[in-house]
Amino acid sequence: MRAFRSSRLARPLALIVLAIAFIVGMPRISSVYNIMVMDSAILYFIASLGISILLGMGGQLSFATASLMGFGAFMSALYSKNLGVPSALAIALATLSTAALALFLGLALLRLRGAYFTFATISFAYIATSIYNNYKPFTGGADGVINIPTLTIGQWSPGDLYGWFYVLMAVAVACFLLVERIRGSYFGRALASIRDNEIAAQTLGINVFATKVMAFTIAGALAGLAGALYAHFSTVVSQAQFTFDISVNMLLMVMIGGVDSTFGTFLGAILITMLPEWLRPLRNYMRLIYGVGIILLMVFMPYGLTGILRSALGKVRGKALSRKSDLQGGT
Amino acid sequence: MQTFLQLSIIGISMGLIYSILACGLVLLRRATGLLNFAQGDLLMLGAYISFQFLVKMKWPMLPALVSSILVYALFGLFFMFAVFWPVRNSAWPQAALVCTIGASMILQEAVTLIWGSVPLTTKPFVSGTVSFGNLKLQNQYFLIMATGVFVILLIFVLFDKLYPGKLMQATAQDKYAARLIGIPIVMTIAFTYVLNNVIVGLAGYMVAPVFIITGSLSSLQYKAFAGAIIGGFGDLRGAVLGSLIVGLVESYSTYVTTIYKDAIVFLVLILVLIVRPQGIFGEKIADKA
Amino acid sequence: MKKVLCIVLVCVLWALAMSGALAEEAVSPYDQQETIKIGCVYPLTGSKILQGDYTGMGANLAVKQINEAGGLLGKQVELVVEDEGDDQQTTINSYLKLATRDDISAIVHTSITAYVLASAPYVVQYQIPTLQMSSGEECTIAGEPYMWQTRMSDHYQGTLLARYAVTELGMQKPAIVYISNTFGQGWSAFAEEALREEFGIEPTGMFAYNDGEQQYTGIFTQALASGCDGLIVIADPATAMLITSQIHTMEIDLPMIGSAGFTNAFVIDADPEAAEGWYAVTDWTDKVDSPASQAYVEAFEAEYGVTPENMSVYGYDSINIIAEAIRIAGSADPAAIQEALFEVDIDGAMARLSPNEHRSFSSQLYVAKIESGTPNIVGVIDR
Repeated sequence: MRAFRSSRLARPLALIVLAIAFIVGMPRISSVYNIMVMDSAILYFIASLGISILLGMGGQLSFATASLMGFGAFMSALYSKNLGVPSALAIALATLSTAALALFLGLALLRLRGAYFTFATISFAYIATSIYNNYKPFTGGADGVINIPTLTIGQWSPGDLYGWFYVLMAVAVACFLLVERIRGSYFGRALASIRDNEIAAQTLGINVFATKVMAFTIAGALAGLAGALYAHFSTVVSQAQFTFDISVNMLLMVMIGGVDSTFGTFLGAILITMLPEWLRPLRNYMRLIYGVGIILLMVFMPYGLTGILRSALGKVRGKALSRKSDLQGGT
Repeated sequence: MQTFLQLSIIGISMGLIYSILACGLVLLRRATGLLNFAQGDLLMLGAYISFQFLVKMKWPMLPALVSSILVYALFGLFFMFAVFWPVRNSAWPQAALVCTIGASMILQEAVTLIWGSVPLTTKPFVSGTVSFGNLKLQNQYFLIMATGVFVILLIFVLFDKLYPGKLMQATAQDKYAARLIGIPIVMTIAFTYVLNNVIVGLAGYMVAPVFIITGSLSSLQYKAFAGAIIGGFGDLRGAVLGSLIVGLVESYSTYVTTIYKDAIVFLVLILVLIVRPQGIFGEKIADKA
Repeated sequence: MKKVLCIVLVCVLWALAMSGALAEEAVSPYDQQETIKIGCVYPLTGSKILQGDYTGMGANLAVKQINEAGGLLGKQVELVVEDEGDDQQTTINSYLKLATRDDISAIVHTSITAYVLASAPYVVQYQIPTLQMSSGEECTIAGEPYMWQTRMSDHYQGTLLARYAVTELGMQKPAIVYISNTFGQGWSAFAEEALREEFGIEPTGMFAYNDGEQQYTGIFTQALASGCDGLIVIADPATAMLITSQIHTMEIDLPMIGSAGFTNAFVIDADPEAAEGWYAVTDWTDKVDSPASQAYVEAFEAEYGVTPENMSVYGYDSINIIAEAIRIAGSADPAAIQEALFEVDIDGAMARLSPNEHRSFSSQLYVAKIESGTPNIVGVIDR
C-alpha cells in the first residue's frame, strides 16, 4: 500500500523538481543561439500538445496543426498590428479565433473515419498554405507580415530571448497541467475509449462525434496559442513556417516522445528541434535520417521514449512486486 | 470555345495520370488496408529511373523500358518488406501510414543524393505536336493517355473480372479467414505492391518528358488521392472517374484563378467528403469495428 | 575548503575579466585574431542546395584569390558557413550563431527576402554589417543601417523588365505570368506599376502560379485568351524550364521576356529550341563581357570545371565588397567595416559595385537574348 502511494507522488514530484531545475538552469548555461532554439522548441511543444490530445488520447491523426498555428499567428498579427489591440489581448483573441476555426473544421470533417479524416486535414493544410502564400490582405502574401509588436503586458516586455524563455515556459507549464487534467477527466477517458474502440464507446453512451470535435477544438486552441506567441516572439511570420512539413515535424515530436505522454511530447519537441544541430556532420542526409528514423520508430518504439522508459520501469517494478509476493507466499 | 476545348483535353490527360496513381492507391488499400503516402514519390522514382536508362546509360527505347519495369517490380517488393511488413501488426493503427510518410522522405532525399538536385529531362518518345486548328497537344500526351487507358483496362480485367481480384478482396476483408481458405496472403500482398509500383513507375516513365524530373513530381499524388476519394475509395471505377473529374476541375478552374487551382480541387474534395463521404461509387469495404 | 576555493575562483575570474576589458581598449579583438573571419549563411541542405552550392563556390573562390594574393591586412581570410536549410527559423538560428560569436567581422546572408526580413531585428541588435543576397526592396530599410544589399533591388529589376518589354519589344498589351513567392510577387508588382505609371498600359492579366506547378498549358491558354501581344514571365529556374518547354509545344509565337532564371545554363540546355528567342533581365550571366566578369568566369571554370551561375557571382562579389571595406578601414572590426562600406567602389564581376542611398551595391542590369543556346547580352542598363 505504501509503495503504491509513494509511487503516485514520486512522478509528479520528480517532474516538478526537473521543471524548476530546467527553468532556473537553462538560461544560465545557454548561449543566445541555444536559448533561441529552446524557445522555438517550447513553442512547438505547445502546439504539439494538441496532437498529443487528438492522437494520443483520441486516436485521430491530423495534419492541420501547423496551418492552425499559422492562423493564430496571422490573426494575432492582425489584431495587434492592424487593429491596435494590446499584444497580450491579441494573443488571447487569436487563440479563441483559432479555436472557432477548429470547431468549424471539426464539425465539418470529423464525420469522416480514420484515414479519410487524415486526408481531409492534409487537404486543409494545402488550402491554408495556398491562401497564406497568396492572400495579401490577410497574410502579406509570400512576404508575410513584418513589424509585429512584441509582447507587452503593461510596462513589462520580455526584452530578449532569455526573457521570452520564462514567458514561454510559464505558458508551457500551464498547458502541460491543463492537458494532464484533461487526461484524467471524464472527457479524457471518453476520448481514450473512442481511440480504443469507437463502436464500443458508442454503446457506452458516449457521444463520439461531440467528443472528437471537442478534442479537435482544444487542439486547435493550443495550436493557435502557439502561433500567436510565435508571431510576437519573432515579429515576422510568413506562410513558410506553417507548412505541411512542419505538421509532420510536430507529429514526430509527439511520436518520438511517446504518443500517450505529455512529458514525452516535451522531450520530443526538444529532441527534434535540437536534432539538426547535433547531427551537423550529417546535415546533408537529414531528411533521409528523419525518414529512416520514422520507420524504425514505428517498428521498434511505437510508444516513443516514454514508452520504453515505462516498460523498463514496469519490468523493474514487476520484478520487485513478484518477489514480494513470492515472499508472502501468495499471488 | 477553343479555350474550353484546350482546357478539356489537358484536363483529361492530367486526369488519366491521376487515375493511374489512384488505381494503385485503391489496389494497395484493398490488399492491405493501407493508404500509401509515398505513391507520388514512387512515380518520381520511376521518372528518375527512366532517366538513368535512357539518358545516363543511353539505352534504346525497348531495353530501357523493359529494364525499368523490372526495376520497378523489384523495388515494389523491397518497398513492401521495408515499409509495410514490419509494421503490419503494429500496436498502433496509424503506424503503417506514418511509415509511408517516412518512406516518402527517404525517397525524396535519396533521389537528390543519387541524381543531384538539378532538374533532369528526357526527350519525348514521339516528338512533335498534333494540331487541330488552334488546339495543340504534344504527341507525348497521346502516349501518356494510351498508357493510362491500357493500364486501367488491364487492372479492371485482371482484378474485377478475374480470380486474383477476388483473392485480394478476400484478403483485405478478413485475413484470418482468407488464410483458412488457403489464400496465400503474403504472395497476394507482394503481388499488389509489385503491380502498384510497376504502373506508377510506368506513369513516371511516360510523364518525365513532359514534366521535368524533379522532386516535385511527387505532388501529383495529392490530386490522385482527391480523385480516388471523390470517386469512392475502394472502387476502381471510382478512382478513374474521380481522377478525371479532378483533372477537369483543375483545368477549368483556371477560368477564375491560376493560383488557387490546387486549393479549389481540395475544396471540392472537402465538400464531397462532407456531403457524400463515400464518394460516387461508395466504399466496398467498410472500416471494421 | 570549499569557501576558499570559491573565493580564489572569483578572484581569478575577475582578474581575467579585467584584463580582457583593459585589452579591449587598446586593439579591437577582431584585429587580434589570427585570421579574419567572414560569416556566410546559405543553403547547405534542403531543396535549395543547388543554389547554395553555387553561392559557396563563388564565395570560396573569392576567399582563395584574396588569400593567394597575401590575404587582408596581412592575414588569411576564413569563411565560416552556417546552413540556411529550408526554412526561416533555421536561417535565423544560423545567423544568430554567427552574430553571437566574437570573431565574425561581417556576414554574407541568405538570398530569400522573407528570411532576410525575419533576421532584420537581429542584424540591428548585433550591429554586424550584413550583406544579404536577396533583391527585396524593403530589406535594407528593415535592417537599417547594418543591412546591405549586394544586388540591385526588385524595384529596379521589375521596372526595367516592363520598360524593356514596351520600348524594345514593342508590347502594348502584355500579360504577366509570375511565380507566387516573394520574388515573383515583388517583381510582378513593380512591373505592373511601371507599365501603368510610365506607359499608361494595363497588363491584360496577372497570372500567378504556385511553386512546384507542373502543368502550364491551362495557365498560358488563359493568358492567350486574354488577348495579349507579349508575355512577361517571372519564374525561378526550375519552373522556367517547364515553362519554356510547354510554351514551345503550344507554339506560342509572341515576344517573350523573362526574369533571370531563363538564362540559367540548365534551363537553356534542357531544351535549346524552346529557349530560343527568349529575352531575360538579369543581374548577370557568364556572357557579360566586362573584364572583371570575364576574369571571374575564367577563374571559376579553372577552379571548378563548370560554368558559374548567378548565385555564385552574388557570393563572389559579396566577399569582395567586404574585403574592400576591410582594406579601406584598415581593420577587421565590424564597426570600422560598417563605416568603410559606404566608400566601397569597385568593379565587381556582376557590375560596378558602390552603395546607393538604400545601401544597395550593384549598379547595372543586363538584358540577355537566348540565341542558339547562349544567353547573349543585348543591353546594359545603368541604375
